[in-house]
Amino acid sequence: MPNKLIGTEGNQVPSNADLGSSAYMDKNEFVLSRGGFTSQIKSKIPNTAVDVLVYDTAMDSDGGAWRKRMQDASWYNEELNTHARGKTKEFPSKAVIVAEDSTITIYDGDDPDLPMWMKFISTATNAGFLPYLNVTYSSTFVRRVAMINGLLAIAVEGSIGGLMLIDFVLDEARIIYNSSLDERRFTCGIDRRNHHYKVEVTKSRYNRHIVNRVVHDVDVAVLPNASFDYDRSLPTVSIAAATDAGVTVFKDKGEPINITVSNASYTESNKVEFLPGGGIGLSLEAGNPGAEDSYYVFHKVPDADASITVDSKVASYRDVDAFYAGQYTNPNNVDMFLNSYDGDREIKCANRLNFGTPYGLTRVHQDVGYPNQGLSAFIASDYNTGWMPGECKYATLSSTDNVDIVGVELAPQNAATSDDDSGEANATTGWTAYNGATISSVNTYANGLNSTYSLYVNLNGGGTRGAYFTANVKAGVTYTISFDIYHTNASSGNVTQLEIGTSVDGNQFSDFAFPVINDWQSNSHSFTATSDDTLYFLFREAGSTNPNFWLDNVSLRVSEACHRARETTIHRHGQAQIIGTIKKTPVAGNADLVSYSGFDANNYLRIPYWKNSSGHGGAHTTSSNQAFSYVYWFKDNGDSTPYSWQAHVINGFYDGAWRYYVELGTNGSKAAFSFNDGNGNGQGLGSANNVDNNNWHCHVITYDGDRIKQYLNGEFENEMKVNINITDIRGHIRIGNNHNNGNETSTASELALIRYGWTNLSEEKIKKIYNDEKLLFREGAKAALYGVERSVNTVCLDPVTDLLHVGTNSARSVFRGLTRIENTTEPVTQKISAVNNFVVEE
Amino acid sequence: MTVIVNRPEINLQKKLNELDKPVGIGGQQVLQSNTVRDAQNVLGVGRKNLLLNSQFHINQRGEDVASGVTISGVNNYFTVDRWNEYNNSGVTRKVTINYNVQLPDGTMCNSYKSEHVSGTTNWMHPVQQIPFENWMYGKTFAVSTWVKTSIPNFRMRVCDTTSCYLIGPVIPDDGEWHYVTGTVTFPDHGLNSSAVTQWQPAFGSGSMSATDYIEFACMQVEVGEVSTPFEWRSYQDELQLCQAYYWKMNQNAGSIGHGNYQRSDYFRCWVQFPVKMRDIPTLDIANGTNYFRILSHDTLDSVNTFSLSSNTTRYGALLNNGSASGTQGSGGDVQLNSSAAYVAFDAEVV
Repeated sequence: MPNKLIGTEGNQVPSNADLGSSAYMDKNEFVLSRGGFTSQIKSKIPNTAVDVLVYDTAMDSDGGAWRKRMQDASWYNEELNTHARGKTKEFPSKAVIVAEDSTITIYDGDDPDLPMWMKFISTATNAGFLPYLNVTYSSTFVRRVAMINGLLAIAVEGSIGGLMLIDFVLDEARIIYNSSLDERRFTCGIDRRNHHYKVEVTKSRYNRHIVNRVVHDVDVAVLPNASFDYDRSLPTVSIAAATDAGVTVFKDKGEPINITVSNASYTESNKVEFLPGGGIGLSLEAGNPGAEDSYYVFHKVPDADASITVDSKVASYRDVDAFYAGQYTNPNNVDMFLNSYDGDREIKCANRLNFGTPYGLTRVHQDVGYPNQGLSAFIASDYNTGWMPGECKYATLSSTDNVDIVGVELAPQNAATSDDDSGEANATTGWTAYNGATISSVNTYANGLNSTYSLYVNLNGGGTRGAYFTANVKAGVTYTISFDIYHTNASSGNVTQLEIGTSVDGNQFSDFAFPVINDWQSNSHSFTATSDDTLYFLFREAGSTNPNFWLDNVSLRVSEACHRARETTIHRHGQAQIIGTIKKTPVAGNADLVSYSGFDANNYLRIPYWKNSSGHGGAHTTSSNQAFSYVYWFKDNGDSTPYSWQAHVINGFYDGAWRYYVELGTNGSKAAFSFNDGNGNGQGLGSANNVDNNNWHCHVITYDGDRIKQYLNGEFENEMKVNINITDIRGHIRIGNNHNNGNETSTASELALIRYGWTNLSEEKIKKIYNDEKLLFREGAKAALYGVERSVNTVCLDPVTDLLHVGTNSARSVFRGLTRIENTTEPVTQKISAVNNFVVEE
Repeated sequence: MTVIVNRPEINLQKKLNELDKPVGIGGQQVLQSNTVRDAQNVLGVGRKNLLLNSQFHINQRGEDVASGVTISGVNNYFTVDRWNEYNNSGVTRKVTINYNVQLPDGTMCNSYKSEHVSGTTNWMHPVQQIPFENWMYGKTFAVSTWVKTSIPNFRMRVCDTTSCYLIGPVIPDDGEWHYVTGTVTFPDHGLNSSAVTQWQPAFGSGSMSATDYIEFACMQVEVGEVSTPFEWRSYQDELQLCQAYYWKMNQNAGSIGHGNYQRSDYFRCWVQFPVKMRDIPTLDIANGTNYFRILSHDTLDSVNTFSLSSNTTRYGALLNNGSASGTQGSGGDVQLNSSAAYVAFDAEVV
């Protein structure tokens, strides 16, 4: 009790003596007397949530002012401090909404103790909003929540679920079903949410239905050009619901719009979100996660029903504006691949063009006009590709593993099949005929692509016959086998196959059938060994009446990952084979990203050439006037002996003499590029600025079909018109070494983040690439997802800070651009919601 | 499992300082705006309307649009300036301009009503056509209008010279005024630069019944993502804009130009256009007995018609060759000599 009170009873106030130091402070000092900081929240809610949401009313159209005029609402006047209502009347300015299967709880984020503010409950026995929609029983559950401008939208999943809208401004709740039922409104206020059971059918100008009652996801937004809702004194909220049969959008005050698909096998939508600028993104899949996810973007929410032709963008003007999917065997209509693989194309999460898959994170920097020409970056627990140009054919040297890599030839050496780098001999050494076939070294018909001998496999009229070799592999190591094969079997339709397994004709690692062409074809296949083992590499015919075939240039080596944002053929192939030993060291002290060095005539990387019925290898060939871009980082220490040219990347065809090629590197003190048409005609250009200063440089060249431009560190250097034919480049890609007898190797250089794509990069994109990636080359820079888990469970881009939060079973990683700036160490399995650094995760 | 909540501490002093920003009266009004359109209204800003005569107050052709103009089987029939009624054969429509209509938001304006009278048709669409220009490539246009209709499933429509797009929401067929907006983005390439774009306030298909109608007002097309408040133009400004497409003189006894007799029966008169026309115009003239007269040497020389001799986007040359009767070398003033007479120069796009 105060010691000294002044005044008469009922009007007594404490004296200054009881106020302590506060008595002598002005009001500003008093507010700040405890340090001027509000308490942070670090709470744990022991719930099993299916969704979490930070609802910051400052993001509402009126900045949350609607909360100040709710004194007549039933929920405002509801009894406080009950099991379903907290201690304050006013809606929190910052709320944390936690959705469980059968309960939705709103927590007061204004209070450091994060108390419960309101609860929506469903049990099998009680009445109320959620039970009316069969939540809890009948296998119907809450799945997602979204809120803006005082409107809480709830996705209820289950065959008798639906979309629930709880309107705190109008103090009412509604349920929207599919077309068999009318929209219904509860005849009570929100204070009766856990008790009331009476509804009435609402009369609406439109038939407000959703396309299906199984609602997997929901989002709300105020679109540009939104009308004003005079009933709510707020701009009209648009609502999107993802269902089993597509997406329904209640766009502004208009008629509901259904976005469906033309293929009945791909109707399920599990993800929908409004995108900045008035667009919408949604997923469509076959309903079996892991197989067939695709993500579609409309730059503007359609004004009328739209039908998407699955895996196509060409149906009509209403069809999609952008199309993202996992690597895919028919990629022609996909604008960009996500970080996943054919046969496992699950998109686990998406938020504002950031995607999580079982294989990692994909960030997309969209090019609205030409979505296939945007930038994308793959980030996992052990690599970061940097920004890949559109139509990226390969992105490599992007690892965060600083262990040197050693690649020796594991395929038969000194044999007819040996490649240029393993020596070739007139012998069948290392090969074994299989199942009645006979093998021999020949130099007559089809005697090898660029060599003297090839291995002739005579099937002697029998089927399923061939030849194999064996090699020892190590668990967890990725290998790439490359080879040339010739078989003439077009008439029968049968094919030749590569079977890789732990026994002859086993196929744990490959059951790879080659296209039928009447010519040599070049192919490669990559796989990761699961245990230390001896594997069998069997080339055999598939049918019983197949003709004989020839093999050449067979090479099996440890490989470095090549990532691809868009490729036109088989996609898990064509990793970079390691020749010799490549040194890997952090690009800067304690940085995640590593550089690759130690290059010379015997130590380099090689991305195999491929050619099949689709034509020459996409990563290696340009068609007439095909635009392209090369992007990579290098550090040159200035030691130009024995050759002034340091060949960093060379893409070309060598058969004893140079054919077409494009080469990038340093020439003396300058960054440089050159190209050659194989007929003695070449062009090249050096940079204006010196680069032999042992600093990291970002080197970019772009070709628009007419001129090649050179950039260093995001700045334009120079350009030249291309006067010779560089439209038929084909062959291996070598990194750190020129084909030509090992001259011009990158002995003085370290390399990282090499990318090649079939788009001409704009200056804006080149600057973005440089500015985002230069941060990866600084001391302590973190580039990868934290922890060992690469599978991304959830992503959330904070709309205020632009920080990307990425949840895996290891942790929550926080990225600005491409750099991880912080992380937690607890697993995040369900969802992250973040607004202005207020983060909720589960 | 556990939900983890993290909110960093906040420096109140820093936040208070951030709030200490000068906000004037205008700034306060902008902050209190409920919508972008409200803010634009406060600031009095908006983009230029690419459509002309969306107030329907320019009617150079002098059609009796207040009572209604009946149009039978004629495509590209202009009533008020720049607005074109597109009918197919066998169809009769009635176009009426309703003056001083009050919209639900209190706006007083004129509206354009197109009503089906008879005939079998599957569509109805009054339209304004704007010549394509290369700057339109890749641009997004916001289209807005007040509209009401009795016909279901009508929406706004835009044709970009190669493709047509229905945009904006379906207009309720409840006979009530609705404000609708939509956007369309033209492609980056491949359009027909010599063709015209079409902008229609409502379009749809289906069997029409007599008295089915669409009525619209304050239609606006502007570059951008968001429709801004309607651009109100003065009669004089709008008239000048419209006269680049069509210019008509029909005041009886009024002079239309001055010329001279190059021969006694060959009178050539130059007419200066009030504004540069968008293209070299054609002549639209009403002929009739003594519809025109030439005042020369204090004598009236009546003629029935004139033809177009030559013209540019600035001047037109009217010629009477054969029926004029004057003194070679004398000048003369050409006047209309009948209330039914008119001379118009037409550079409209169809």
